[in-house]
Amino acid sequence: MIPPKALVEAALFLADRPLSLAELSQKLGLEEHVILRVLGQLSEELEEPHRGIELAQESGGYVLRVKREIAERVRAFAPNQDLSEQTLRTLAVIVAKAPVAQAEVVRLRGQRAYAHIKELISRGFVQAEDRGTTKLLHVTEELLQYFGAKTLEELRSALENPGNEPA
Amino acid sequence: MLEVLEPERFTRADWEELFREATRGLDPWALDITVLIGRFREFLTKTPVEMRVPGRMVLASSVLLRMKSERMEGKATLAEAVEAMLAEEEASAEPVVYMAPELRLPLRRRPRARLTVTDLRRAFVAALSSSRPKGEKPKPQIEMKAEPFRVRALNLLRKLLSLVNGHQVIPFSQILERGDPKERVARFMELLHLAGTGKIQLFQQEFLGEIYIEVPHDPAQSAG
Repeated sequence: MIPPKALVEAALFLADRPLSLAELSQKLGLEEHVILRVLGQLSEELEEPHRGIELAQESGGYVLRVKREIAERVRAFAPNQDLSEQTLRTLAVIVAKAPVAQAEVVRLRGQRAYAHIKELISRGFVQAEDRGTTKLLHVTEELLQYFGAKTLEELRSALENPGNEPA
Repeated sequence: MLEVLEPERFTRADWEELFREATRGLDPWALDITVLIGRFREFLTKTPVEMRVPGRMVLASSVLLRMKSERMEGKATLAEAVEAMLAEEEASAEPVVYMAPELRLPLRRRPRARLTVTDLRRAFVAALSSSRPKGEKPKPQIEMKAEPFRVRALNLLRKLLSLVNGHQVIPFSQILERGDPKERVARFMELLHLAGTGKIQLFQQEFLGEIYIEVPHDPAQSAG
């Protein structure tokens, strides 16, 4: 019998998107409380400084990702970045101007920005708030965590001034 | 009572001679034990030494003797003979169909690099340099005259009327000032507009030949 921890670890390793507790439970045939227990064990093990990846929560799911502090060093091994270049540009505009009206982002980035914003919301990086005919876009805590920033101001400062990288 | 031969005593005996006599003419792989025992008994009766050798010892010795003789003759050793026999058996056996195990490729993840603030900054700079507010139209590649097309077409008609001078048909080449492709296209578009509105008529006498512009009889009416 394959240990649940091995199953969960393999599933997270293979998936290229965050996996929810429900999906893990359903597809691996394990009870949610079992999965939660092994996720805790995995997270604890990966927190060790000699480990290069971490278990993180993104958009309501769990994902294995390279630790932020070593991401730049291993970039050459992954030619595809986490977001497409165009989506990343739209995200950069949102970060620079947040909270910003969706219409303003679309005005600056073109009609394809709608699809980018949709993807960013599904990744949990951006939150949309209904404001009449348009939406007001905010960056989320998950985005700040992803880039290792404590506040939006810190991330924005790093964006505008090279050298002000989050610690 | 059977006397047990001690190894020391056995080695002292002329056992080689005994074996030679006992196995002379016999096939070492098919020893006739009856003949062997008969010869052994005969040997014992002839020799004064009271010595008896167990049959098993004789068999073992005969095998060893054969191995030795084969080695001396350069023939295959027993081990090689056994191997050859096994190979022969294997060759004659029914061919076994090899069932390959099911091909299962290892699952590998497609690596996607985690984004850094450096990536975000680069994307921000790129977004700023490429962003064009929706309301702003790109600068036209070809400078257009400020005059609307319709006005330019009417001006062309007036020019045509001034050129008619009794003749109602004017070649296209006569209305050109510079004659460059840009002007040709602009004039031709204006002529098409005038022709479309019934102000003039265009025709050619030959394929890809000169375009002729026919101006109606009543120029004032046409220009109106």
